[in-house]
Amino acid sequence: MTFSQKEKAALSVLKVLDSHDMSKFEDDLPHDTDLQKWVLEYESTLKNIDSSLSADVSQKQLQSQRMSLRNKINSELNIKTSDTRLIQPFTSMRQTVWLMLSLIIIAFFFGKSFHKLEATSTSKSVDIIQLMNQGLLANIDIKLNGDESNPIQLALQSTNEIEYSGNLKDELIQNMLFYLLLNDHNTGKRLKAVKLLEHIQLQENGRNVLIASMLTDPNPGVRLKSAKMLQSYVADKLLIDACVKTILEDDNFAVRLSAMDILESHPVPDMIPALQVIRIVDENPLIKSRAKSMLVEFEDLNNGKIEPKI
Amino acid sequence: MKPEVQHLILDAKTGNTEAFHALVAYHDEKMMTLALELTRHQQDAEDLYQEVFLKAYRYIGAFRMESSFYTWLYRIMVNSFLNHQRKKENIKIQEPSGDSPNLIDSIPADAPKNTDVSDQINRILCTLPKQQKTVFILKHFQGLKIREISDIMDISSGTIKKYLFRAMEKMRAGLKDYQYTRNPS
Repeated sequence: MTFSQKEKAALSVLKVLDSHDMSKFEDDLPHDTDLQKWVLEYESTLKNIDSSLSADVSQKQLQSQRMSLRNKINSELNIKTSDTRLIQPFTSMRQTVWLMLSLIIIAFFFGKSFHKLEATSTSKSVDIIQLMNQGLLANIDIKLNGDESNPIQLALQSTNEIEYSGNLKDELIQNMLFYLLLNDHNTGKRLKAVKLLEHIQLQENGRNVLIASMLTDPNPGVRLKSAKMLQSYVADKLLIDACVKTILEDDNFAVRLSAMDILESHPVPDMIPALQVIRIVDENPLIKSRAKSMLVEFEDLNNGKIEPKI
Repeated sequence: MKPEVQHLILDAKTGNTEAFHALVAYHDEKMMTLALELTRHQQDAEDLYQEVFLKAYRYIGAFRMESSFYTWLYRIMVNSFLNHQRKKENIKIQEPSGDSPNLIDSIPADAPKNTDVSDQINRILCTLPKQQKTVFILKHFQGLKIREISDIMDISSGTIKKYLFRAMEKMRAGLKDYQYTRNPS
């Protein structure tokens, strides 16, 4: 029994021989009793190992480790915040992020920011956005005041004891809703955020948030709502490309149909290749037929000849 | 990569710590299992777990999503483990460079013979050079493919196969007394 044969026997048992070697090995095996013996030895070695070793991890142990990790990360974040404090050139050495937050909370309680949105200083807004970037505004909760009639008054709270209130015209409120829509793990909150954004005509950055949500949100309901809201915006190349990607890739029929609505209202030749694909491969007959109709329209415009731009 | 995981990674990359903790909860069972398999020691495994996820937290911004998140975590864990092992070694162990057939020589001859197969396996695993042991655990216990192990450890597939065979051969030799007695078919 050569060293090489033993190696092949071991690797075949571990299922890591490449196909060529494996084929040759399988040809040799039935005629070589020594080789069979080695294969059996390696197999029984693995069986011994499998039956004897089990690294059981309990959920309790994991919870404890997660808690410990959370504490360590929180400590790191606190140190980072202190460092940020030291390097902020425009604030005094003692003016910390937490102090800024406290001011916002105090302002809230005095009703300064709740009813007088314009009084919200830019510096406070910037600080909250910075905190959002640092992930300190986790677990934001939306509380609506009164009904949803315009202007909606709402308060946003987080587990970091931050409260901020205002209406939907408030840029900071809008930013926090964008943040919720793109970041929160709770589908209900993301859906609530996108529904609230429906009450305002968003600027370009807001529309881009909706595009991102339509393309990436894991929940079809949120993607659908974003896609429907995008129907009220003028379709530029970015939106058309996003819709093309959606009709080609989204696994939800309703979302694809909404994207198709946008494409139908803004037909451009760039979308022809995607429509040609959809006409054939989409599993939904309605989407297929609408793609076909759009292609017919393009065909008419081009005197019976489609010249897709690829 | 699942869309939910992708979403969490993107969030965590922007500094969202809750997203990172969700990622930890999603991946940590396998990582703790690997830590236990590598270290064979509860406290060491817990330390390794903490070290790996703290590093992941600090460097998630640099994660380019070119590999799966698991592969990235495995790489951090394997590197951390190997670094610790290197530090622990008072005498540098030179792994055999050739294809020497005398592979069981590295198992001490006067080592106590355990009647319990689990103890014996543990004993053999502890005598394996760290690279062989890591490769064997990643392949056999974690079920990774050779290519994945190659990515994680940054060594060639051929070398991984050599390590696997050496580890297997030591296992076979060390467990000779515990072999199943079956005739070749």
